[in-house]
Amino acid sequence: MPGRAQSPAIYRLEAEDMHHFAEFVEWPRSANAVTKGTGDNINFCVLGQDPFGVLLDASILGHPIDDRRPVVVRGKRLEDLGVCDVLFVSSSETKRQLKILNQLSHTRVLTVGETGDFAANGGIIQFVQEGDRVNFLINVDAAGRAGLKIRASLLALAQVVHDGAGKRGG
Amino acid sequence: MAPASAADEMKRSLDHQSIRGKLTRIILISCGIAVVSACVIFAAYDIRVTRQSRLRTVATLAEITGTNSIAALSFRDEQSGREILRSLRADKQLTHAALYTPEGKVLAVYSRDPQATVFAPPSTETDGADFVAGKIVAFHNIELNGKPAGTIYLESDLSMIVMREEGLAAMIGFGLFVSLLLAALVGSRMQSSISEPILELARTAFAIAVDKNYSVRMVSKSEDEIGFLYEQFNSMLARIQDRDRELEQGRTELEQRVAERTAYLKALVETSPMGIVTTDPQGRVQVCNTAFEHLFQYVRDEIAGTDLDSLIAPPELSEEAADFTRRSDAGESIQKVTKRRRKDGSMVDVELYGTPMHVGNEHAGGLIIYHDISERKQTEEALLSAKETAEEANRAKSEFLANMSHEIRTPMNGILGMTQLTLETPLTGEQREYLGMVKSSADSLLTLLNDILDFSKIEAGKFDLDLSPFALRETMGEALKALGHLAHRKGLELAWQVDTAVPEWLVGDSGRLRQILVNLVMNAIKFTEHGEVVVSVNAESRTSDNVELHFSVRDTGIGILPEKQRLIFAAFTQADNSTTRKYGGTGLGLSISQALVKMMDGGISVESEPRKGSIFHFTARLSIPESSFIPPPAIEPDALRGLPALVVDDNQTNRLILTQLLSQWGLVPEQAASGSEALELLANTRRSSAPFRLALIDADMPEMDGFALAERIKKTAEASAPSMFMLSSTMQSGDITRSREAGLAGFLTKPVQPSELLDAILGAMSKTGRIPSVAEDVQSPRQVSSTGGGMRILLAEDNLVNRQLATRLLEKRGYTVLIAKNGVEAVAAVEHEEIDLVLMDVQMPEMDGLEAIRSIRATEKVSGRHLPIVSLTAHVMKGDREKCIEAGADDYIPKPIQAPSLFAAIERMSIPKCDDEPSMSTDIPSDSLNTAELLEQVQGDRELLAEIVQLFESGLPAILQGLRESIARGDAPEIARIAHTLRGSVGNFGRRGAYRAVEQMEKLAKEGDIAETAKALVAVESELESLLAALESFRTPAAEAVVAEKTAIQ
Repeated sequence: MPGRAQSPAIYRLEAEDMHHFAEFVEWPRSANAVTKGTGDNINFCVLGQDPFGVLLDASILGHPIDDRRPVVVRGKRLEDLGVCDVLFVSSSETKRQLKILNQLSHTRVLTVGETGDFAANGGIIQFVQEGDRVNFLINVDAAGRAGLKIRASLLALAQVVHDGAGKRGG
Repeated sequence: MAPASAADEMKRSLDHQSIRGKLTRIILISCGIAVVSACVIFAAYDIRVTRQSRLRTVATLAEITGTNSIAALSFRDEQSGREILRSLRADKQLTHAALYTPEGKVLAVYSRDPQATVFAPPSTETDGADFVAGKIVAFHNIELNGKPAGTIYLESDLSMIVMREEGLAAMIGFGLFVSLLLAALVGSRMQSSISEPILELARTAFAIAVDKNYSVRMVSKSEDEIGFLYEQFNSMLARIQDRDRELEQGRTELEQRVAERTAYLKALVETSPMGIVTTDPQGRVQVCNTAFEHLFQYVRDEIAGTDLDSLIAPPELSEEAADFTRRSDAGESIQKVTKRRRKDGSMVDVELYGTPMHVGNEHAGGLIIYHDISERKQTEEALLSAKETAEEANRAKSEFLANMSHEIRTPMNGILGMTQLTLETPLTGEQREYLGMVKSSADSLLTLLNDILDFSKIEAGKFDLDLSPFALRETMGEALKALGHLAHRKGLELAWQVDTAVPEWLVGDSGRLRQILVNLVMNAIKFTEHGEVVVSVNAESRTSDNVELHFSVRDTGIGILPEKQRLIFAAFTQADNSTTRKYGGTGLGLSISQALVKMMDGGISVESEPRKGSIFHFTARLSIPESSFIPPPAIEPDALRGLPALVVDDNQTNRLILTQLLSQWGLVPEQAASGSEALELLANTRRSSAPFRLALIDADMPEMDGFALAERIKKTAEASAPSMFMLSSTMQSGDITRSREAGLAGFLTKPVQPSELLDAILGAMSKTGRIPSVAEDVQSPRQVSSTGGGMRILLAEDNLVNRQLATRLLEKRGYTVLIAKNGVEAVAAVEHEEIDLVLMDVQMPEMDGLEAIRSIRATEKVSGRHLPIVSLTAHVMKGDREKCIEAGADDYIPKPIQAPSLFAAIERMSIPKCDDEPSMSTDIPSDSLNTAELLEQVQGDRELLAEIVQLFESGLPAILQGLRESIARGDAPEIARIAHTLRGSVGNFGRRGAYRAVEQMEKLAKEGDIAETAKALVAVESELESLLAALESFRTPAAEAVVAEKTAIQ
């Protein structure tokens, strides 16, 4: 679904959901310990053209998650972003989406996207807009590859998909 | 309130049930209460726990479900929210549930029964679960990472809890039922162990109460309280049994004793010699004794129950009997001597005692005791008649005595009067002596008679006092005057003294006072051989209008034995019967005195020591005249001269005596033999120049008696009526009052003593003012001397009483008195003091009066002056006077000292100083002898006068001889001395011709004119001759004097 023209209300909900996702996902301790620079922070990164604007900052900043301070990082390129815990891949990167997702495969980054094939391309959580509501797909295989544990309660809310790559890769 | 009244109700219902029922109920109620309260507590606890548990469950469910809903809430997943809530269906009680977003928006709703109601979830609230309106409501806020993620609401109903509670209630009810059933079963068995013995006790007690069989005993089966109760019940029964036995025994004894006592009382009543009867309150006979039966001749059976009053009270005394019954019913005890009727109708004298009878506090009727006094009554009647007879006899005797005394008095009157008259006629010595004895016997008889009369009057209570003003000192002086001579004849001194505190004028019966005094003094003189008799009067107590006088008569006589002292005042007794013969007297004097003193509100007593003397005391209360009272001026008998007087008496002897007496005093009497004659005479003289001024009227006259006459005179003559005196031989009670009412001047008892009559006449005359009193136109000696005070008098007297008496008398008259207690003192006083006159007692210690006089006169021979000396002597014996004169005394006066003679003597001595006073010479008749004056000087003692005359006469020749010889010798001083002595002697007979002649001669002798003295002697001799002629009548007592007076008047 290219060329999405989404209302601010939807982005607002999605900004909030971004924060909630971090709450229902468990990063492996060891991994985090070695991640330099992040430590007590939890970095929310936006790659590409930022659809949220200030809404993201409003939803994330000031609301610590498991004592980790949320930080928002924006960048056009993956390299610019540094270490990310949650990475939103804007629809502006659709062309490079697969490459990015492959690059991030087996990294402990919770990837969130909004393009229609994001999950299928190996993204972990994909927003699906249904009317004024926002649902999401969770690619548990991708999450498994990233070493992230997604809580059942979140999974119960989401539409769980598999990409099969795991079989391939794993 | 309610539970309390319920408990009360329960208790009340218990009270009415049998003990068995009570016990059962108690067991059941207790058991029920225990079970119910245990179950209720348990159930309450269970319900509470269940509810709390449920509450916690709901809260837990809310929390669990909330946590499960976090994701759904975070991502607003309504679908999954609903699914989560739907999982609550497992709990059947949860009715509703809801999920809210943090903003409060409802995310999901759940209802157990979707069809039933549309559930509107409530707005969110704070955390918590609670019971609200029969359900449990729970809110739980869900947080995620410290951020509110939403809220869950649960609502649960209580259906399970209610079910459980119902189950519990059913279980409790069942349990209760079962336990009560068991309790009733077990209780009914066990309670019989308590109730059964009690019921048995009750049954036994009832049986004993019915059968009165106290020998029953309970058998105890247990040793608890009931066992103890049985024992006590048994011992109580035993005691009751004992008590019954004792009571039985006591009753038997009591009955026996009652029987004994009843028998005793019955015997007491029966054996009483007095008739005893008791009545019921209606006056009906109940019980009577044998004496009553005998007294009234009734048998008790026939009178029991009949009315006592109608039975034995005679009809004429029924009123009295009814009165007794009334009074007895009122509680009074009655004693009465009366009469009662026997069965046979005869009357019996009884002394009746009636008294109300009380048994306990009940009025049980009356007790009446009858004492048969018919014998006593007879005795009394006999005594009464004897007494009446005796009284009658006594009355007759009294009347006889009164009549007799009158009968005796009349002849006595005659005897005395006629003897008096006879004595005044020329008589031989022998005749005179015999007649003197007749007179003295008659006097004694009269005194006796008067005593007896007085006594019988006092006895009869017919004695009145004649109260009038009198001068006490004068009265006493007069009374004691005559007694003084009696005393002197026995060689006794009689002195009297009246205390200055005693008023001069008093109101009382002076005659009776005099009688008492004379009686006591007479007795004193009678029983005294040596020494003196002293009368003194003191005022014991005095108020404004009366004074109690205390008289005492002291003698130095034989005295009275103590045991006799009480007797002497009794009538007809004397201290010693043996003295009667020796001393004479009726023995009535003292008892009369006692009676008189009693009438004067006084008392009489005696103190005495045998052989030492006696003192008789008596007191008398006398009134003091009001201050307005002016004592009547003294009147000289001379003043009566020439007054026309009337003597009215049917008895010729009496008329004669009275006429003679009046003539003696210078009155001009006329006689009337009856009342009518008297009235006639009065009528004749009324218009004449000389109406009667005085009338002596006999009380007892035929036709018209004295009182009637007095009234007639009073009526017809009015203001010009003469002063009237009633003379009576018997004085009746009330006579004095009657006399006073009739306007009489006085009442006198016959035979009248001349002095008494004279006093009475003088008193009356001065009171009425019919005759001029001496004070008005004659210069009385008293007045002369009281103005001529300042004269210094030396009183030589060893006797204290006499000294005081004389001093007082003299000082009262204004003289200055100097005292000498013996001759030595007297002589010394004369030498050193200026003295105008000496009163010299003859008998004095150390130096007697005569010696003292001689001593004084001896010194006077040198000095040439002559001090007048008057000697005082009790020895009026022949020779005494001479001794005094010889010793040089100018005059002498006898003792006891009498004021008139004392003053007369002093005045005689002081006259030379006022010799030339013409007033003195004018009233002295030059040629005649003033008999009255002469008698006055000797206090009416004719015997004394006779003695003096004889002395004078016998001494005269010697004196005249002496004078003649002295003249012949030319011895002027001797002439003067003899003339002086002569003058003193002649002065005794009045300062008339002879006195003046001698005085003149003395004067001439002192001048030394012998020739003139010789001439004077002739005059003296001729005057003396005529004086002697005039004195002739006095040479022998009384009779001659009267004759002389008679001739002088005629």
